[in-house]
Amino acid sequence: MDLYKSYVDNIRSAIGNDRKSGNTTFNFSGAISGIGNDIQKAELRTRLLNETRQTKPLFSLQNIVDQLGLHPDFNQQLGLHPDFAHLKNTGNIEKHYIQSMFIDIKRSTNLFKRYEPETVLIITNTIQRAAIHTCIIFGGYIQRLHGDGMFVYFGGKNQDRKDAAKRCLTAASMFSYFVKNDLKNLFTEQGIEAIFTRIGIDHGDDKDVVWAMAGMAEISEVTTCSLHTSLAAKMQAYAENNGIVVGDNIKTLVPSPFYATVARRTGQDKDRYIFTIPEESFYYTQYDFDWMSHLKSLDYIITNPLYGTISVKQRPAEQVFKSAAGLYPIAAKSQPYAA
Amino acid sequence: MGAAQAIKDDIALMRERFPKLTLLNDDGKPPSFAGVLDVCDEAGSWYDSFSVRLNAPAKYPYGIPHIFETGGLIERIADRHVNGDGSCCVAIEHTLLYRAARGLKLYDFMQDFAYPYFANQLYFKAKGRYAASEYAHGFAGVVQFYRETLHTEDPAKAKLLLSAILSNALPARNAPCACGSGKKYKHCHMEAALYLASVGRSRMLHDLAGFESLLAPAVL
Repeated sequence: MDLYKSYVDNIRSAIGNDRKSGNTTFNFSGAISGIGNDIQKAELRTRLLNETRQTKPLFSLQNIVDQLGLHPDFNQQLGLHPDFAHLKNTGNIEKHYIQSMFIDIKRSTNLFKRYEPETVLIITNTIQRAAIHTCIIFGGYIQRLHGDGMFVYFGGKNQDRKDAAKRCLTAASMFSYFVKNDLKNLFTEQGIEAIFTRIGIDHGDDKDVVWAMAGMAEISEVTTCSLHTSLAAKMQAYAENNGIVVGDNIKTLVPSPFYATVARRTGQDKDRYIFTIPEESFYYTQYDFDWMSHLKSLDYIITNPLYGTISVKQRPAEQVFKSAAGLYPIAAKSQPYAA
Repeated sequence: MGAAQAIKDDIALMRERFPKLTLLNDDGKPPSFAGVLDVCDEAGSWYDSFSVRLNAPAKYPYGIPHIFETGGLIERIADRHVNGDGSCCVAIEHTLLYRAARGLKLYDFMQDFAYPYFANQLYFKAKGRYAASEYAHGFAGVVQFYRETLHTEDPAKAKLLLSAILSNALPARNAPCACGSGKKYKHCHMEAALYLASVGRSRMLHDLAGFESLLAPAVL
């Protein structure tokens, strides 16, 4: 998807600049000495690394922020959901709904086989940054980073839970598309094994979620104690490669035809419920979420019927739009008639 | 592949490539879809969207699907190739009958006819003309079809050929062509005659009557 072009370009540049793999983006016909070349490479590496540390999304992803009129808070603080920040350094608790999402990135370790650690750092940071930006754009709060993955909350005070859940599913879907398509294409082009994501999401309602500070003093965070936060992490492990597994609460909150029980995929009835308390007749079902169909159903996403690819609904440049030049090759295949 | 599986695959492909069109029936009857058709160029840039309804024919996939523009974005006049009820004249019937005789899946209909038709409508809106050629209205369009298919300016040849097909009097491969050109049939209109034969007898009878009327001497 065009949205992630800047991120893909960043990773491609890092790979091209890697010394271990023998790739190079420079083509000075040997005019530059080894030392000069090394300096150039080091400068590029520093620039790319700095790119991954920028707070705001890279250019291509910024488009969707502008287009959808969103107002994401890119200056949020890790592990401190602003609606519950007042609980920091207190013994107070609060009960409030939240959606929890766990994103894991798999197989990134293999990158070390091929690239220098500095290159791997740029690649993994860029991927993680794409995830962070995607979540923040759709209203998520980054709670924790772990390895290449992360733990994100959606929802909060004065936010409609259904709307928050929709945004949560869309963020997870967008990021999955990036990894499954854009990143995979780049890695295939480089002849390296693709990495993939596994995502788990669940919604805990007001009565089931306790907000409180965990830890002590500066070794602390404001976090949730909830069965459904725990289940989101657990369900992530049940997701297939580039898959999203969600709890029954999400399905109830955002009904659509895009859910199928995990048991249906695995053929194992034991995978139907992610958690049970038989004595309380509590059986909690986990579902695979068909994120591609979800994305395609969104108003602002367009599917190219000729190739099946998706992109954000965006008009071409004014001059091209007025001339309809882009349409000509398709339109010229039509020879209409009126009886 | 079985016919049932082919239909199932067609519906799956429709859902994948036209995800904003909803399948209205899942009861084994010829499928219908309705919803939004986004039109984009090959690069994926979006131009506009239409509300449409797509109906598979009773003999699906051996019939002609019908697509309706339901949002009123196209003016209901003959020049825009849309009827008062919104049904879209995506192509001349002969072309569609030929394809239907070989099995015309909904996705293929959308890809080859309906989608280019809507792209062409947007092209017309922008430029005031269609991207390529269009058929003339009424029987003049049929004459144009025969002219282009038979590569002749002479409607009498079309009449001769239609008469030969309808009366099972087509020549042998190496015999002179039924159009009267004197060329061997295989080098003249054999391929075109095979094409015409698959548009169906009733369509050809209708066309023959049209040519007879066209070629009849004017009564003073």
